[in-house]
Amino acid sequence: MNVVESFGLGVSYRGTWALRDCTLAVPEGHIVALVGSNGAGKTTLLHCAVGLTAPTTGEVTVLGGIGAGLPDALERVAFVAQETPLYRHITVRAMLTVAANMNQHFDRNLAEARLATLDIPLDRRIGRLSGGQQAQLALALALARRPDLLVLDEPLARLDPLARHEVMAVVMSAVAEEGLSVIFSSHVVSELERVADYLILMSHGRIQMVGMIDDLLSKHVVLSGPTDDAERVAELFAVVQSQHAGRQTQFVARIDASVEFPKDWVAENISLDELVLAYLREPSATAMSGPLAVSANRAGR
Amino acid sequence: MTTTVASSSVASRDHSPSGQRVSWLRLMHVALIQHRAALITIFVAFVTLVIAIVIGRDAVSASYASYLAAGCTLAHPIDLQVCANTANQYADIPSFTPLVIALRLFPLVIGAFVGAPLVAREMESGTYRFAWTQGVGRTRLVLVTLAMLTLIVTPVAVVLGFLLGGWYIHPYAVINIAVGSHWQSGLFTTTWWMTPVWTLFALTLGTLVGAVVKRTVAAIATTMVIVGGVLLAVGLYLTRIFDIGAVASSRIFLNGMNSGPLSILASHGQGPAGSWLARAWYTGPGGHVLGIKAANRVSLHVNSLFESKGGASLAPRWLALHHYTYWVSYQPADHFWILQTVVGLVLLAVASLCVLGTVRIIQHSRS
Repeated sequence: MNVVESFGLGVSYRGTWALRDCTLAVPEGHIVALVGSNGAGKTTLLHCAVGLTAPTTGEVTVLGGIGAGLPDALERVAFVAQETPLYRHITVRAMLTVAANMNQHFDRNLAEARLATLDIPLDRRIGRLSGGQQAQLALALALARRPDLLVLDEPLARLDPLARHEVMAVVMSAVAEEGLSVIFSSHVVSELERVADYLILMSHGRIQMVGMIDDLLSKHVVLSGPTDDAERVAELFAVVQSQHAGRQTQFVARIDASVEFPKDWVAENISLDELVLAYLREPSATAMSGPLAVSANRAGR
Repeated sequence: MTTTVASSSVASRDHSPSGQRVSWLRLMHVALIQHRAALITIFVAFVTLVIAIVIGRDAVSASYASYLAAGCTLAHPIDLQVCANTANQYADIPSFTPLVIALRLFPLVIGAFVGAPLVAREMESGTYRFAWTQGVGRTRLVLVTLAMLTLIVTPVAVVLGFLLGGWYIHPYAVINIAVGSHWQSGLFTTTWWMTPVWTLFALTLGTLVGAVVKRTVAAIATTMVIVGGVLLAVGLYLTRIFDIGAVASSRIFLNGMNSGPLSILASHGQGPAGSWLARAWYTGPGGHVLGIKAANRVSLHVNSLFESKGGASLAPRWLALHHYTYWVSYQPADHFWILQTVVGLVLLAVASLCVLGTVRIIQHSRS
């Protein structure tokens, strides 16, 4: 079962496309990192998946074909929005009551237990909680719904490193205990590497790279060698990005197992950070795992 | 761009079968928590008005008691001078006009401070991203919230309408029916039926405006302008409403036989008892309606005849001789509740459209 599927998905705001031609299938059981620069369309894609935004073109389904935003989907998909908007004028306890009464299945004991672990007082107004506590509260509310799919939009953006670590620990433990699928967007690539096993990279409203992180990392290398030979080597590999420094040239390239590395060139493993940056710097480059052939095209070539 | 990866198998959590939904009662509880401020607004407005009506009624009661003590009733005034003095004293009681105005403004307050923020605040603060992604769904949530507010606001408005239109105004209607007539613009729109209808109209209109504007303060201001404008327009054009289903008679002769809107209660045999005289006009020899200038000329002449001795009989004779007819349209007393129902149903129909519009906007709303 795919937890999210989209076909030709596009969203236009007054003539400007925030999302365009997104066809995607995210399998269940993964922690999916949705990465992209500002304005890449991450939030729009997530809003489509949770039914907050209706597509201008195409369609999006969740959990094996349920239309996003339909009652069955709402019951099984939990969403924590950017900046965790909650009712700031009410107490944590009242917020738990609100969430419990808005959902057919809400495990209040689970939510209270999580909040107790985090020392978040139930009688405090939400507006008086710290940013980290508000994020934890929003996450506890979402997890207490026992969703099949948890969608988090920039959950770490406002948090200090300690709070980030704690939030991700809660997500990881929920995944381990309940086996739910998680999609979360973030700018902090280094922290994604530890928790996510699946990557979606977006740029300018389109999906640029998607696949299992291990698979993507194993199929990309950093190649370093003499600039004189760079043009010939570039013909052999799908070069995502190149950098020239005097006599030395460095490529981030997608490799094929059958291709041998040229003499005088050094191939090094690539980190997720480097891979993401390389693709973000070359918005026209794409890499898709699955049945479609992967292409890597450089702008200007 | 297509990606397909073999899926793993993860057991789905124990969710209810399709069709089983969160109960309305639980959602009412949510609405009570979310809209505490709105409920406090309703409560404060209600208590303030009840206190004002009770205090106002105190002053009315004192005059009423002295009126009755003097043996005066509308039908049998014993001492005309004493009764007239007391009746005049009534007209001076300062609570009457402010109370009528306050009750007319009650729907505006509810529309602006309860209806307008309902959706606008969620949109402005971003909490709609929480509320609309919960299992209940956005449409049910908004409908239940509106239903809860309706259930609270309606009895409150009915009670206020009863207190003003029935209890407070009763002595006025006994002593000086012209002052306390429920046909008057102020009282017509503040009966136990019209007050809740206006309130629901304002509440739903405010909600719609909030859904369109998406900003709380702007929605409040816009709602005030629109609801205030409609209230004012209905007050100004109530005579047009009273033309609906009015009965025309050529046998009613008034002291001042002017043409145009009348808005007076029939008295002293000038029209059926309890009827409301809506409009007057003249027709000429050919049966056509006279224009304003021609009607004024005839009216001036007829009124001058009235001032002369025996004018009451001279005027009709002069009109008949010159083939003029003075027409008066009136609403019979038994039309009152029919008109109330018609106006009320029109407002409720508009309120229903506002709810439909709000639901449509919310369903198609984009983040």
